[in-house]
Amino acid sequence: MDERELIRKSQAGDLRAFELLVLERRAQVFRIARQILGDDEEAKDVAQLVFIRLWQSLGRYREGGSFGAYLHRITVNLALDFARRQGIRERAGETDSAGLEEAVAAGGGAGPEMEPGEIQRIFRLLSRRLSPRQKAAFVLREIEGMSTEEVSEILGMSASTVRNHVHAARRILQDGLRRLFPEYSRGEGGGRE
Amino acid sequence: MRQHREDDDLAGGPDPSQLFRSLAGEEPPEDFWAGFWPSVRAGIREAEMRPAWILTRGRALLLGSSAGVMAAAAVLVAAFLVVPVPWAPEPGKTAVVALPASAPPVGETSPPPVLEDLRSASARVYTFHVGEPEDSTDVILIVDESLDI
Repeated sequence: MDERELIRKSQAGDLRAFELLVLERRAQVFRIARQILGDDEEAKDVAQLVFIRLWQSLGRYREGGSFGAYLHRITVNLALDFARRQGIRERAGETDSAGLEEAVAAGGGAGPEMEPGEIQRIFRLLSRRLSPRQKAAFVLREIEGMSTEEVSEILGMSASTVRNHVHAARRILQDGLRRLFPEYSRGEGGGRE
Repeated sequence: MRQHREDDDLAGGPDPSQLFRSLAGEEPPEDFWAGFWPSVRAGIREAEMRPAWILTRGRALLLGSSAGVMAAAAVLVAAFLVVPVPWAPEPGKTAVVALPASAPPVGETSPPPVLEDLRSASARVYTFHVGEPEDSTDVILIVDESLDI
């Protein structure tokens, strides 16, 4: 059964079809929430809320529109809302350069032979300096590989605003990498398109 | 598919996009999802069983501030329209209002001083007793329709 069929059946109240839809989409929803929140358990909670909200609002989704954008808009909004309520931004505001350096030192820094969770940890540390919108734009555009137009639709902002947010986020992250993780240079990890 | 970068001007430094792109491929282990769908299903059922008029905590918080203001406004309007105030002066008469200039010292029971005279012909004075009887406070409202604000 393809996704459109699953959506149609879910809209008709078929919970079994919706379960398959959840299975299909939960990993990406979780990933986006995790990059925004920086915490696996919180991201899992938000992912569950996303699918509950999706079930409640599926009637408003019209076939022909991008289901991915619809789902990701719910994800980003709930994750940003969750982060706001948890005071993540407030805590981040207290994290000055010295605090970040301490956190990096406590984690042992990053070596050339990184474990899978290491990049996640670095992103979690450095992305504290991003605004919620910058972080969401960077996660969707640069990590999830969505087009600027898709991100624009999800975040409800113009393409040029998305580009500005991504650009600002890259600058901030690059600055953090250069100062706190100097072992990373442009040449490492393969080239860009 | 990634688009051509218009902002790829971060020359000479590490490329965060390149570094963090690998995060997209990270999948949690299967046992991480244990209980995920049952929780979603339970949330759906709970939401469906909840009558529409019961506010969720979030919605209640969202509405709380405006609802409080609305309720206070409604009480005031009702007080003006419904509650008879037998001692309210007739329009055209001078009302003398006693207002406490400051809180009297504890233990003193002297009457509050006369603070001002209202010489407006259309002024009305309403007093609301607020709080417990043994510790009540008077809220005095002076309404003058002819006052040009």
